[in-house]
Amino acid sequence: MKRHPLLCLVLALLSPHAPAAVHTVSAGQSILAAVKQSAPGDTVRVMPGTYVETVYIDRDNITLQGVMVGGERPVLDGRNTLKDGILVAGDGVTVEHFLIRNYTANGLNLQGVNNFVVRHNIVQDTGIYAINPELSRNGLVAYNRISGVWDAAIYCGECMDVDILYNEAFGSVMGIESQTSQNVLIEGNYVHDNATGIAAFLIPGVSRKTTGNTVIRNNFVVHNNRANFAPPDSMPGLVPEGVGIAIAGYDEVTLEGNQINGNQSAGILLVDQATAFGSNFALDPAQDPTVNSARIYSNMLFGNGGEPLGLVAAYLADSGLPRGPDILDADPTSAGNCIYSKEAWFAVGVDHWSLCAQPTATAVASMRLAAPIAPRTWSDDQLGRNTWVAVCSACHNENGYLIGPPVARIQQDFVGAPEALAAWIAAPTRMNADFPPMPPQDYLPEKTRLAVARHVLGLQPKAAANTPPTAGSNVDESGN
Amino acid sequence: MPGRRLGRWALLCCLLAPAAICRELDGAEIRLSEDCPPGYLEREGRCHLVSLYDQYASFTGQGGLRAALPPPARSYTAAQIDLGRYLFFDPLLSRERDMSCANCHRPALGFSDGQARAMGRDPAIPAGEPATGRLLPRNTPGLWNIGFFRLLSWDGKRTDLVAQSLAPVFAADEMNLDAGELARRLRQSAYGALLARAFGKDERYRTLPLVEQAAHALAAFQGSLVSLNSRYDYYVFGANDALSEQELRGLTLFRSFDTRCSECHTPPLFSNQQLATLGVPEPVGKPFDSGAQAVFGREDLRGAFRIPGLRNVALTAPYMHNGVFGQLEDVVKFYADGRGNSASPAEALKIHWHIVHPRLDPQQQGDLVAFLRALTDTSHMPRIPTSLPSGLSISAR
Repeated sequence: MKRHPLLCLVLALLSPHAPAAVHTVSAGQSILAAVKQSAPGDTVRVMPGTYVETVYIDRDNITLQGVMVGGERPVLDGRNTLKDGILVAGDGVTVEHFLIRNYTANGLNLQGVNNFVVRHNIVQDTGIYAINPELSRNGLVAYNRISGVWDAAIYCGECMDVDILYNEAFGSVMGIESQTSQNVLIEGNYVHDNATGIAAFLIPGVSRKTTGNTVIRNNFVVHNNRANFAPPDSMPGLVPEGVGIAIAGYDEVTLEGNQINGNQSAGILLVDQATAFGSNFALDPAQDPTVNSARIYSNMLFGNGGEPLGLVAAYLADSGLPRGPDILDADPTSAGNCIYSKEAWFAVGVDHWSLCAQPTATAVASMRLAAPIAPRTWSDDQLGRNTWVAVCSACHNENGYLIGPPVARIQQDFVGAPEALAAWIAAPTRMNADFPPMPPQDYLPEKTRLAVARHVLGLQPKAAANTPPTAGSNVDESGN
Repeated sequence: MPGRRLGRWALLCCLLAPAAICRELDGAEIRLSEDCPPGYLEREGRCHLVSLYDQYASFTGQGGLRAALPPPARSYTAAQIDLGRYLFFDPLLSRERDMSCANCHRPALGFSDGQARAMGRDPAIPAGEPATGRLLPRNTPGLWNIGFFRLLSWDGKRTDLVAQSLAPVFAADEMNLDAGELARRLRQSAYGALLARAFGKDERYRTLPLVEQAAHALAAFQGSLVSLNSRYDYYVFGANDALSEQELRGLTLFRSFDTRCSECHTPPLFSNQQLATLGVPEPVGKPFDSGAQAVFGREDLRGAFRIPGLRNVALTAPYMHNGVFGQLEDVVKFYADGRGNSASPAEALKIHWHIVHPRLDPQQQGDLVAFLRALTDTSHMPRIPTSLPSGLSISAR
């Protein structure tokens, strides 16, 4: 069927969103420049090559996609001088198929983000964290290979509703850390040769105060015996060495189906916050420092504890035990914890634990939400009214004269012409000598400007209560 | 640069604002406004803040570019807010009738005072004799966006703006009234009628004593000091060139974990409202300030203070709990010099884990300062009264 070109134009104009565009970046070009050119819904495809830059994504629904050609993938390289590889502050962002290396702060940082996907990336030697969603919600971190950072390779900080699946995390102080988070699934990861393999930490001094519902399942957690190479005065400087899975202060962790082998201090370690962090850092009066409601179902624990170090060694010295345990609860005040069997493994400090009831957490398929978190939707009326109040009311008033002209005057000047008013707002020209010129409001999207123009033309002004200000009026600034 | 232009005009708007009011107050009678302040929408008789941040779904309410704001503790009517404005600027609230809230919380200085430490009064001077200043231990906090905060005082002791509003009024070394004298002054001045008008029909507050109603009015007014229309906010709302290249570099550093600035100073308020020990030096001759330790009775909070918001921070120098740093450049350098650089070894402080060892060259430090200066917005500057219900004049000390 042949469409009429005019009809197509009309349909395009009526459509609320422009069609998603694809921007291609080739070696020698800037990824950041392409991101800045993109609109929500767009994809930025990056061809193989080495890109020495920091890319920040501050708009929503952008896909940043590396393209593999002939076995080569695009490389973001900080040359050990740039701080961050990719900083994400937009919702609904996907980052995939990159090699990110040699940054000094973070490889891929997401802060305050909803609905994120990070997958199929290789991240090497990126300073503190490699992939770190923080204060973020509803996301997936999967199929990444990460190594060589002095905190956690994958760090989920004050997160909620996140799946961390099928990654390889090694050669770092921690492989995977869930920090003061809620609803996290850590599954199917290969976590080896870190100081501690997987950590669930309740960290003091942050805005979240509680933790919970975290499932660590079917991971391979082996040979995490690396010397801790974090700065000794930093928080990760306190992370124990030789531990498979460490839980400090964090509640409601379920462990099942993990292979936890060859970790020389202990397979699983549970401690209170004071023992873990109290030597160097203030605890938080609003947090409960003990581990509660941990559930340890069947896991394969073998060959752990052969050569204990650090706080596990100190515990053993006090208790006279011959070697490090598979499972150690170093906090006698922990409560509500349960274990599959107290006799299947060398488990220490679990006398006060109960035996776990069924069911296990196998039925948990994902911690992500069934649908993306939607932005709050404002109708055009709400958008117009709220923008008027939030922005315009600083200078304009329905009742009379404030700084700019009153509503009645605006209505006279733009009667029946909201489009003209919307355009004028973005690039104002002086219309009245009685008033100071208006600053351009071009940061407001066109849709917002039109909505606010319609709103102001539809207001019912009250009688003007005063007269316009004259130039040169005294400014009364008391106390100055 | 369009962003710079916007900033200049915003400033012009603020400077002109009071002029409109002079006329509103023509005549002797004080008339309380029936209109909610800029940024507020009236609903069921009360004023409710409207912000473009309301469009965003939030998680913890903090962090990232587009996060929702925490809800305000209370809502008030236009008249209650306006009455608070008069009280705030009225020296009737001090024993010698010569010091108002605005003496230390000056509008043009981000509602701080430009001094390293607040200047109070020696309470030992008898009534009627010339007051003698007394240097108070801490810096005067700015008040922009204070209505969103639950942690109000430097040491974390005050968490309710209503109670906090009268604390300096009753403090012997500040305004030095007692509740009885304040009640008498309110009753015997035009405030008696104005309080009745503003609160008399309000089910929530009408049975409260006059003094408490006045505290609510002061909190209502301070809650209206909202700053969310800076050039940074324009950038958040989609204006890609609202920030200069240098300011964008500063934003990128601000949110990098190399500095970890944004982890404590989380947007949109640029504070996560926690306590933190930084190891800030005390000025020469001033003893160590134990901060939150004294309030919470916890050794590990020794030297911990409230993490302040950074909106309008360019206006509120000097900085830190003791005003030890005169300029933003000094503050940034303090962090850049690394964790514990000024902490007394004798104190063995538990410095917050977000205080690290950033690697910031002088240009990067300048970039951070430039970004902080882009957080300035005083477009909702309240109108300063030209006459007061007490009949006193608005005096600078």
